[in-house]
Amino acid sequence: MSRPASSRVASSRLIGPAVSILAVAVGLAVSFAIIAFNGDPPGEAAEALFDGAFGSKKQAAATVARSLPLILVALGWIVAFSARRINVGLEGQMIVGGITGTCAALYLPGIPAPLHLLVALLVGIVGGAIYAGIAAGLWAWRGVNEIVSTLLMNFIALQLLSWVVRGPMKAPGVRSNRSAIIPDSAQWPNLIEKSPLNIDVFMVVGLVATVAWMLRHTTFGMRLRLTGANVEAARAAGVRTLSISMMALMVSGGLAGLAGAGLVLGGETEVMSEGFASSFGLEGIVVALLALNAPYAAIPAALLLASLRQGGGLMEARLGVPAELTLVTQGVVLLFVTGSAAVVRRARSIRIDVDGGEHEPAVEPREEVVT
Amino acid sequence: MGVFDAAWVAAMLAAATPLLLAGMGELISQRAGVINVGLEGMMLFGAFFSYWAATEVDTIWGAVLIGMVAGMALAAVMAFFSINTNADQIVVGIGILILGIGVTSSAFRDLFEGRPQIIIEPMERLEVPWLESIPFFGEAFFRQRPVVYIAFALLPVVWFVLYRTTWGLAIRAAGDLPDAAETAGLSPRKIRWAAILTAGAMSGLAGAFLSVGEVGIFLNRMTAGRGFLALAAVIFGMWRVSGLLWACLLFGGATALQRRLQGLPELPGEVWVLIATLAGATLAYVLIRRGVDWHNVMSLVTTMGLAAIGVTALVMAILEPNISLPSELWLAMPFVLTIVALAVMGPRAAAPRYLAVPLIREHD
Amino acid sequence: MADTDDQRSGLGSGVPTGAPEPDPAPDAAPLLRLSGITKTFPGVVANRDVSIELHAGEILGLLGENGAGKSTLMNIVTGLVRPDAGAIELNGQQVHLRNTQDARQLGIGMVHQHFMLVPTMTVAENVALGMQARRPPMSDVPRIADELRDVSARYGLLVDPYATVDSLSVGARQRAEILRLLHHRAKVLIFDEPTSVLTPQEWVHLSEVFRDLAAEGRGIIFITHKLDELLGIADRCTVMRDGEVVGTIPAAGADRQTLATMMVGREVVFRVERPPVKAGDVALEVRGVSLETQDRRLLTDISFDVHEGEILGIVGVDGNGQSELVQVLTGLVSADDGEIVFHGDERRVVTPRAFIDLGGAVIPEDRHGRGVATELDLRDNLMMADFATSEYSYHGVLRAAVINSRCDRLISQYDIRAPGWHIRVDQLSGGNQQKTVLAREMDRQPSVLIAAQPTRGLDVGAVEFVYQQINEHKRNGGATLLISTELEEAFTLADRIGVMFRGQLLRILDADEATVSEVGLLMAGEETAA
Repeated sequence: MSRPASSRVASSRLIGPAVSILAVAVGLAVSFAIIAFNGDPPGEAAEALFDGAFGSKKQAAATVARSLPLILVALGWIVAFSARRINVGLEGQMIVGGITGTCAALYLPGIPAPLHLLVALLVGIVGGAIYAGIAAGLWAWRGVNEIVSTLLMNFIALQLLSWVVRGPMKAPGVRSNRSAIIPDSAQWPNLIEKSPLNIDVFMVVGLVATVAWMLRHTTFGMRLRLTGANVEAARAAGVRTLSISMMALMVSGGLAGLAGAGLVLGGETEVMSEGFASSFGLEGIVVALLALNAPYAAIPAALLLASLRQGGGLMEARLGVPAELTLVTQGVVLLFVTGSAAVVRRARSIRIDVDGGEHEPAVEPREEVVT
Repeated sequence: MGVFDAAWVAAMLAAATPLLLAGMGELISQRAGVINVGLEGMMLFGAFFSYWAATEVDTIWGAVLIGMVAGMALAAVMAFFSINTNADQIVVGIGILILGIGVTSSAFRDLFEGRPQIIIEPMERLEVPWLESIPFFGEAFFRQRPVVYIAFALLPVVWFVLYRTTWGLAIRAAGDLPDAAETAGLSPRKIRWAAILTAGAMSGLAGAFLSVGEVGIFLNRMTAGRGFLALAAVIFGMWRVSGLLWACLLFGGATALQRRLQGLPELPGEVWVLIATLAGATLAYVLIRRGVDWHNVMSLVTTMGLAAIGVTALVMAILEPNISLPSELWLAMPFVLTIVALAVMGPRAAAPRYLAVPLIREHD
Repeated sequence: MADTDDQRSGLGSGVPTGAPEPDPAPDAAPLLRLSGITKTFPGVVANRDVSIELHAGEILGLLGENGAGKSTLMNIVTGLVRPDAGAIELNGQQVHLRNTQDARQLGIGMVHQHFMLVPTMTVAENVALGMQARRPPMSDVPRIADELRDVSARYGLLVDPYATVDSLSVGARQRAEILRLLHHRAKVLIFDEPTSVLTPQEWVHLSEVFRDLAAEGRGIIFITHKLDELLGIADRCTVMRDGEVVGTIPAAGADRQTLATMMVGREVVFRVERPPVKAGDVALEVRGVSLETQDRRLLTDISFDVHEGEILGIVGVDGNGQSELVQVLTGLVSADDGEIVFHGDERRVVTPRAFIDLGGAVIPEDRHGRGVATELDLRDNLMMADFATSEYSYHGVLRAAVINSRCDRLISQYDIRAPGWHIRVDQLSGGNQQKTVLAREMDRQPSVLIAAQPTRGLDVGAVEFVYQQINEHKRNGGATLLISTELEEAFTLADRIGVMFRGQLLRILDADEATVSEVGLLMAGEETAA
């Protein structure tokens, strides 16, 4: 079972993005094929999809607004993944961040805007970070796989939210399960009047740049990437890989928490209700994977997925095609991207067989080998 | 016994059934080294396609079969991407989950929305003659729908397959040391394929039970997280069949309890007693098995925490105060318990060594 | 062993274990014959025209260092790998092995160095794995367990077939592997480094088992690099080196010196002029370092020192504690006992950070393990060790311009063939990757350099470059600890040569006075007089 050598394949930096674009094309093709198969005209469906996303100023604003939490969640995934931690609990961290942020917005009266908003956002970040920190701690001290713990903690957070909007934080005298109305002092001001788009678009873009800069140009980012690329080499170079990994998870949770807080504090409904974070957690991960874990690429990827969702609504209104079909698109895109990634990875690296003859195991355990 | 009457036991068994079915499939899959984050999606496939089939054909069992096939179809997608392209199992699982929700929701709305709702006659309960008239146990155990009996009957079968057949040997080897399987002339890849397809069939059956078996309709996302509960049950049960059974009963019992308590204004005393008993039993187990390490923070926290819970619950049981625990607590309980169990077991948690590790053959 | 003898006289339970009839005709074809086996992997010829014979009833020792080609050859014999040329004959009949199952059915079996036993299954279950069951799908585990018990009793290989593998000691696991071979009726039994995990007592027992099996007419091939064990048990001994068979001699009356020389190579012909540097103060002192795991002792009471301007070479066959020694010295693992002293700064526990701060630098033996991060680019790899120093960062922000120019300088200074520092390291050749490691480690002017297998897998040009760098370091007054499995390399570079064997540092010799055969013997565990 020795390793054969493959020829030195010149890596093309373009393979990755090409695969992503191809994946989107395949996803859309599959969806339109389904639409056509069903008897609906795919051309009109495509038109409706586009109109719904960018047809009018209001719709475009809504699309952009919807992409913002996706970008933040994607950033969260990217930060964690750069240290090779897989955080599937971003949805739960969003929820917790939303809850804590709402608490700060509702129960700290008297703070003037914009300070109130900033405090609420900060509290949201901390909430998400702590929630992720629980999983990080369990991983570091008890060896609990962070994938399992963060995944399950999503559901705990969902129940927490459900309890909170029906119980302690329920707005008095209202029948629906929601919180009291967020005071204006803690809300994101609109960017475009009467639209869902707020000035947090600048914050989010700023954060994208910050995360990208952090990863490449700071010592912290260096430590993250070293830990993710080769734990043993990182340790040998003096990096405290355990702390760094934990911090990666917590920063990741903080970003998700910010997304959650921002959703409530910037939302059109001005309240926190059940399901405010629905599907953003998963979609954000799809965005990150589609962007091949590159922060700047998360922006177009998020816009794409957001426009799918927005456009899906109009497509349904006009043609009766269920909006959930865009979920099918997403699923196909994700599978295509991840299925090709492995092939791309193998084509990128070279292997030269030099030790020839030593018995190599056919598989390599993923566990970090600590001597 | 208050809330813990025969009806509650019957409800517990019925609630545990889909978890058991999906859980058994997932157990086999994980023992072979594959984790199925998209289990929920396969259950949804089973739920929807069996319902759809039931609206077209007359036989309910035929519809159930179609549900199982649907689950296997989605499982085949999972298998292809995680085994043949060596993609990350978690990410593929997310894709399967999204596909599951997307396909079933779109198809359901496309086919059934806007028309009068077609309600299928759900499965009839099968009352086991003579046994069903035993006081308490009759109502609790023997007036269930057939799928429930099937689920519990499959448990020893799964155990047998895993530990007494050549298939079981192959499955366990694929998950613990694929190299050994290869040296013995087996193909870990084929083994994993078979395991994933099995998981798909079982989840399909679980989903079919939910839609066609219990209520007779399909609702968007009706699995409501049960797929993840099944995943949690496999892990909570430490990858053993007996553990899976206890986990599913526990989770099912909590679900049934939660439904029961929804109508009640206050938490009945017997529930406090149950909490106290469970806390006390766990505390006893921890103390006997491992004692208390006074220097270890985790150990102290665990012991103190258990003791505190137990004592508080006991006090509550005696006082019977007018409070009730939120239903969300019961719904979150299975997940909390699983994480706590993992934390307590710590690094000794006995997951299959090659779980979620792609089979990369260097000379492919 | 009286019981065993009785049971072996044919009155046992009659479980067939493949033992052929005793006393085959003396002119019969050998049990196994390999002729002209050649196997090439890209970049290296693993086996060149290898011919070996194994007779029934014989124990053949296969001796050679790492990289000699033994493992490839055995992989070919067991059907894992197909040769480019050559033939395999069993009892005079040519056979074609398509896969491991063919080999198994023909009666060829191997106990690998890393056991192929699933830890969570019992011994019987492991043996049953992959076997055709009598009544599928029910496994035959109970029947197999009974058969194993019989075989176990017959040969004195005591293992409980119902024991779970991970509860067994290493010696017991090996016995289980042997039982599996016997159960599969193996006539040719191959053992790859069986003694690396055994205690001396267990080895005595195992050698008795070998004799019993051979007496039945089976053939045993026993791969090792340890001379003393080989000579104690083998009938003949084949020595391989660099992919070729050097020779085959009978073990009886074999000259140990000759064997050692055959194994390690001719006397070194080419010796680079070692720079005549006068050794200075002690830069690195190691005192009484020991390391244990639950199973065995990895390092026992290691003590040595390395002076400024000196190269101390430590040779030995891979797996005798060198890796662990490096891990302890560089701070990745804490020693259980002993001190490590850098320029008088005495410590028991070294952290990797401290190692670097104290002036240490390491070229790790496994490039892809601790050397380079293959997914990162050249710049990240070059900066791995000192990106956080004030020279290259300012309050947590990296100084891009300074870093980039440093990388450019390093690329040209160390002749790293790459289009620029933005390229991913996994696209560089092995030699350039090693140069990256060198550049990174040497640029900070370390005082103590630990070079572990620094030229493994490198082409001639890269090897020369590495040697130049090490000598440069020496000329600048640096101390070097060179760990190598290549004797030639040690003699080329080192001023003094120590030999490690089974976790102990046996002797340290002056390089000018030591001979290859002397060192070779030490490497094989032989303490010479004087």
